[in-house]
Amino acid sequence: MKKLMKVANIVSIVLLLLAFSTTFVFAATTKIPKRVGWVGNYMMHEWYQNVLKGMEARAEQLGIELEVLDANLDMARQVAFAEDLMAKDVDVLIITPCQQEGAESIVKKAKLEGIPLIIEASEVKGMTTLVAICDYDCGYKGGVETGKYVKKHLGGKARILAVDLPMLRPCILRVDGFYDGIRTIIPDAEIVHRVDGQGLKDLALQVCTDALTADPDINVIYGCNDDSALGALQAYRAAGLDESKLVVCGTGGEGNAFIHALMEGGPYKVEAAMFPEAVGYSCIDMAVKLYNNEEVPRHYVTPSYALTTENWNEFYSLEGEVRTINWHRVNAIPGEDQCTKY
Amino acid sequence: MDIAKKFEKLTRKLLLFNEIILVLVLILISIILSIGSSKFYSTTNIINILRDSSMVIIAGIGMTMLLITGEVDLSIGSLIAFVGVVTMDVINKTNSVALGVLAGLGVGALTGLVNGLVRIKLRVNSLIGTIAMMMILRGGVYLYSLAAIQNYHHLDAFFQIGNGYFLFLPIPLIMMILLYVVFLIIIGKSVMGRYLYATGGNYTAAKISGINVDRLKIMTFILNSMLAATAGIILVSRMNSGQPNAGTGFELMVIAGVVLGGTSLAGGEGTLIGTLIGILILKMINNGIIILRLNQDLQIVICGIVIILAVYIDNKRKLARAKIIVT
Repeated sequence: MKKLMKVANIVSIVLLLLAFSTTFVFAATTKIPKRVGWVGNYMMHEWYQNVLKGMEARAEQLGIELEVLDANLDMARQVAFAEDLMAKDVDVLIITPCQQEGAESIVKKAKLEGIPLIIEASEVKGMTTLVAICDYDCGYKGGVETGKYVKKHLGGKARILAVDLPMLRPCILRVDGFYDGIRTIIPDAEIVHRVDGQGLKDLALQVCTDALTADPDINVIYGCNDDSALGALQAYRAAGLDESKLVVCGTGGEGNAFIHALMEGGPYKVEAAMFPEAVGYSCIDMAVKLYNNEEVPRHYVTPSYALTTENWNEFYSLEGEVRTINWHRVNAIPGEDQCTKY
Repeated sequence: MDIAKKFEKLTRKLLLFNEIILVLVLILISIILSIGSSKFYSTTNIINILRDSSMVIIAGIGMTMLLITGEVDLSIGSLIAFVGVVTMDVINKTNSVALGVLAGLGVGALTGLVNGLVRIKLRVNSLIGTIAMMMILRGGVYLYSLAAIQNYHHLDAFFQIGNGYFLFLPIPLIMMILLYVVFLIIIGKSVMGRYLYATGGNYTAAKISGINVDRLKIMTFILNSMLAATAGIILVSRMNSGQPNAGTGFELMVIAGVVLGGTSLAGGEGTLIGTLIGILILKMINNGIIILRLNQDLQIVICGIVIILAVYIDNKRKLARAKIIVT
């Protein structure tokens, strides 16, 4: 017996040593790209500023030099910038397309040049991998949480004002997802108005003012982004309607406005958060994988979650105007392998 | 018979006035929308339309004066975003609404001054010059602040600017009425008003006749931008945050309303009454489309059609008036 125990111990130690050494060997053989280039589509937007923060944080951890260029919604400029970065021999290229069709030429060129390419936000034909959230599922989670609030606090009846941006498919998916989600809790929930606020707070304010005149008994507001939701809320306030009979759900978590709204104690109760920092972080992780010729999913889904007034500070902290993401909590969000709807 | 003929002659003469036609169009649209939805003709909706129109009309006053002199300003959309951000930021830092408002108006005045100097001293066409200013302001606002400036002061006086009421009238509407009356008198009854029309009608003749046309134009640019800044201050109060991306398309809405109201892009012609009715027509159409739950893209289509028809009818009317004068 004693001999058997000794043999078992020796075998365990040998196996343990083998495991450690494999890890070290693997780590030593994982190459880290020296330079990664990102051509964004609209860097002025708060969302992309936070995506960049996540990218920079991860790039700094891994010792990667990150070069960022902004196409500012100009597809021709984006193609030119992408070609510049390829000419500069970046190890990996990341693109947030201004237009999905227009970015196809970048995908083709990158393949020809042998430069690994990651697409962020929206799918492009011929791409290797996409890093993005699932817009439908994100909206769905917001809808379910909003439905729970309506059931508990607003009498279980939902008359919804949805502020959409029909020009962009991701926004349509968010609203569709929200509607499907809220109907899992409140089956007879109704979208009374679905308006186009163009993703802008002042335009959302204008169109929602008119919508609320037509239907003042709207009790749920959903915005396809935070500005849409906040603009609609301002319209509701300006109309002098009773805020205690309203719940607002925003989408994105682009900047700090949603945190202030959640903290305010007003009707803004739910945020279908998309964690832009995690998107940026994931882009760099995918860049490392591609650089090492590892197999990557066609769509790497970044986390989304319904934040509420009770749980938002598990995911973010806010000091002054500086917000910090809680990586442990965000990385623990159960993810989707693929989206329910595209 | 005589009475019938006299009535016909009077009607023909009245229809030569652009404003009469516009009022008829406004009444027609109101009737159509009221039939479509009972909510259109409610007190709440009328007040909403007037409040929402107030910002555009205030900016329209300045644009009318500018167009009368033969100039244009495409930077007002970007300006209201910049003014909103600066106003909110100053109020946050100083806890003073007055200082914030002054800062916003100051930005407006400075922008107008630069626009005017670029036009007069550098001889850059105002279309090009103000497009350049639009880009400077739109980029500049993001240099000032990448993120929207939230309301940290929570001062009630600030909230009242865009959302308050005096008696039953919204404060933006009262501000619009006051400014409108003041400038109606200036344009219609004062020497400055006559100089505006003279300058726009015939720049050279106005200059020869002793009008300081350059100073007049610079002053008009400044007034125009300050009025746009006033609209920006109302907007930031309504939004409760200074949004760098605000005002997109605002200048086009203002110009469309002013042109619809009969102001000539060539200069020398235009009235504030026409501007008021033109803007109300466009706002009413936009409002009606939402109330009736029509496809929102119709807002752009219908407004475009209305503008083309209005300018066509106006051209016809001018031709008819010219014939009468000649004969």
